Amino acid sequence: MTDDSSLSRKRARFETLALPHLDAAYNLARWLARDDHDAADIVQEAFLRAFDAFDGLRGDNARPWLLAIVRNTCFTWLARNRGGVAQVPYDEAEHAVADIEADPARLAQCADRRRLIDAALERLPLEFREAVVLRELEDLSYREIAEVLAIPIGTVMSRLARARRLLARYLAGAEEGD
Amino acid sequence: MDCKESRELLALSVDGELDARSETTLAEHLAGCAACAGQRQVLAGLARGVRTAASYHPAPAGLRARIVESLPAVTIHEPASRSRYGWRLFGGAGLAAAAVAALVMIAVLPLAPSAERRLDEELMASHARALLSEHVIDIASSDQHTVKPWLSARLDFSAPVRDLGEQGFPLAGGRLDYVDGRPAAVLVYHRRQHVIEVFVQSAEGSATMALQTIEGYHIVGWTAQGLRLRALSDVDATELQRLADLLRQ
Repeated sequence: MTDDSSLSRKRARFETLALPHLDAAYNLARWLARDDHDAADIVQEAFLRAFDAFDGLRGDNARPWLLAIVRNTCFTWLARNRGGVAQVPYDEAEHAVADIEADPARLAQCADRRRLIDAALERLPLEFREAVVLRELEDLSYREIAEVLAIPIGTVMSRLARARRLLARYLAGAEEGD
Repeated sequence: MDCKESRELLALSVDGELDARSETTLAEHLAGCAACAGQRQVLAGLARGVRTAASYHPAPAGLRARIVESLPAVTIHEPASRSRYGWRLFGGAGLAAAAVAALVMIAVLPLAPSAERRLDEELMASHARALLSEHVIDIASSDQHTVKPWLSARLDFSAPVRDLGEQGFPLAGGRLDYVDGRPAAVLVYHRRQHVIEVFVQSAEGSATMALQTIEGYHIVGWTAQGLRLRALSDVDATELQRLADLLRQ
């Protein structure tokens, strides 16, 4: 039986270290699951898992640790409830080191650029979308992203590079379509 | 610095990941190279565009309270704050029966069934995700002397890596994954067209898990000598059991 006072200490520490990252957790889950209700369920489940695993947290920086749990919970959840994670096939040309042709800076003048950029981000295959969300929206460093995604830093860099190339292509296509 | 080197550093520069010395060298190159300078501008514009225009989704009102409510309770007199992981069992009049049930569970399994089930689901999801994303292998090699040190350098335990090609299970490589809130070594074996993954994590105790089938995947494993192993695949169940037996020898 867990001692009441140690459990309440754990709760207090958890509320101090983990709960401040609730918005980040929800934003990540929302971008991965692309649904408000699902994201809330996923985040709640993730925080329960995080509480169970809380004794394993080293140091005081709970953010990458927590986001890793959110991400894993998300994939488990998607596999369980949606029969897997939809992947958009990408062509090998994306591997090539090539310049980004379109100038996304022109988007600055575009009235509904939020809609365009949101749509482009949503269209990104999951493994690229999560890298961009962690980098641009959560402002995580390469090292922190590597920790969340459990991949080497070199892979973080190549994933971000390919994500950005795809984003630029989607955005260029969207502009032409207007 | 030539353009090739410069292109490799542009993203790092935009992301603020470049050390000061390289930043200076890059700036010197950019000053004389319009193509690279233009590309940096494009990258920076794209990053800025996403940062300033993409929707940020803050947690909805009430989610925080919902989470705090659902955390394990300090006392057993708060039914509302019991989590969904089977804690309900311990409430109210069923205490004595629950205690007996708990003893039986402890005798049979090192973990509560729900935790075990959660682990299986997580392993399954990780396996499915790796297959779907075609990112099964970080280090591709049939040579156990290549795979083992690569994994060991990245983990605080040593995974038992063995090529079983002669027995019909060639080693294809290894991968790092994150399961149950902790890092895992994943050994990837091939069996004809099938992929078999063996998840290895450090763990206490000793236990054997009988082969189970969940949603078309088989899973079998054990805990011993400080390691927890779980083999997963859609390969024939008897073949998966054979690989497990070989690994356990």
